[in-house]
Amino acid sequence: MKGFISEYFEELNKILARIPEKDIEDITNVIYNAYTNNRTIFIFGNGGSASTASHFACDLGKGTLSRVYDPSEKRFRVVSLTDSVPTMTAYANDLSFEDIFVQQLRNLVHKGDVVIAVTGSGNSKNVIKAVKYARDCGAVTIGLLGFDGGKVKKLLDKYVVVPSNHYGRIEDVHLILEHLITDYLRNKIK
Amino acid sequence: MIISKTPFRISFCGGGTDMKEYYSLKQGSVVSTAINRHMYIMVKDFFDPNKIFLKYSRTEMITNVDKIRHPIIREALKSTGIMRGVEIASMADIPSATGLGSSSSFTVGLLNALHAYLEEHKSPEQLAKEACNIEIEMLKEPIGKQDQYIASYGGLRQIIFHTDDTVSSEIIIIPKSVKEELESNLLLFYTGVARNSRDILSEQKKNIGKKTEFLDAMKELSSEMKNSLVSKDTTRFGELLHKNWEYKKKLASKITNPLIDRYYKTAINSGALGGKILGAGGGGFLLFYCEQKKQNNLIKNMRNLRQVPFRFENHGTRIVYRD
Repeated sequence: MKGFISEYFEELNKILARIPEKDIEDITNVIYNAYTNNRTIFIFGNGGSASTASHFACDLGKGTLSRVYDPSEKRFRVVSLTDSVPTMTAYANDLSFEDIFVQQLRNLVHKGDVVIAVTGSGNSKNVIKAVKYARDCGAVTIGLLGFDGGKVKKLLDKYVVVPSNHYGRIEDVHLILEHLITDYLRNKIK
Repeated sequence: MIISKTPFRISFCGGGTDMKEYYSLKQGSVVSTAINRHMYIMVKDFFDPNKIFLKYSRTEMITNVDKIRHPIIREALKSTGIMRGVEIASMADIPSATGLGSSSSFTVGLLNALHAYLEEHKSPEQLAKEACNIEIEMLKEPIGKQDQYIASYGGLRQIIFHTDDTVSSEIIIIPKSVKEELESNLLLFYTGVARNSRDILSEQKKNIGKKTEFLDAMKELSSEMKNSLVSKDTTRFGELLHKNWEYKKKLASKITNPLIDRYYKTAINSGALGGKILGAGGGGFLLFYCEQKKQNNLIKNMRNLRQVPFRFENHGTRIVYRD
């Protein structure tokens, strides 16, 4: 166990050291510009990435607040598409699993909005379909990816590829990035 | 398609006190007016939804926003969140790099058009702020903030730059007759020299610590100038213009040069009460205040230079076409 723990930590450190900081800066700027322009941010993914999407939306929406009772404090407009079991199962059951995100975007997305795709493989069909639709609407598309970025990479304006081929490590790092970004933004807008 | 129309400006007094190095220590102030010479920006969907097509003094066809060579367009697209599928063209009444604030008029007009393209309304304040952020924070241009504000708001204004980075401005209210007198007594000549403002402004910015007393004096002049207008004393306005030029010349080594000095001297000898080089200096446009009865003489003696007529402009940036 002892060896396993230290190896796990070491591997995580190595992965973190290889992420280009510029890529993180770029996606953070996109999210910040969405905030200043009152654009809506949509986040989605499957499995562990679904939980990261929900977590990210929670932190951007609530975690960035410094004066929670101040009605004049400007807030992020952010929605995760992974929070409504009724909506997701309705589309999955009635249409197809590929449609669970894109159909939610069709209700809400507008030119200039931001979509964040969280996907280790970069190949989830429901994620790709949603990103394609967002592009057609004139949204800014960004992603938290792993492996080689997968098929979704070329559809994204900005992305961070976590340089690992292990879903667990990729998802670990996505969560770290989510915390890093929201922490940075909370201080920036304070 | 969207078309925005944004005025150029003429700065009368106090330029330099709108730079952060100055106004962060003590409040800055300028008197400036928008003029009826404009920058036009056209924005529309591009046929290829994955590309960006730009037409300005050159053309660019790109797929990645970061690869855009025109720095202001690149940052404005990123700032507004337009990443592809757009075509942008610009036209102007007057060439760039001539001291009429064209780059800020371009930035403000572009932002106004891009937000309209996104079906958003932005106030003059928001447009000016966003333009300042792009030009000063993102692109590190060594410029002040007056141009972005006058391009956004329009009119003849005193603009105050507060130490906490906020800006306030007010229209200088003068009777129509005084305004018309002022307009007909102000003459604009093109030296024929387009210049790079960056070097002059970088030096001026570096000098701010050493030249604070001149800037303090120019700031005082801007309030005096406003008062001269309010009290309908246009002659005093002309004299204050001259005083301001005497200080402005000293802010950096290349603001004036032997040629500009010669033109200025000729103008004063011909009957002008005051004047200045517009913008950073080193070339571009010369402005003179000269009473009408002496103008023929002045124009005759400036015969090498092209005179460009103008009037004040009440409107700031506007969307003039939208379908």
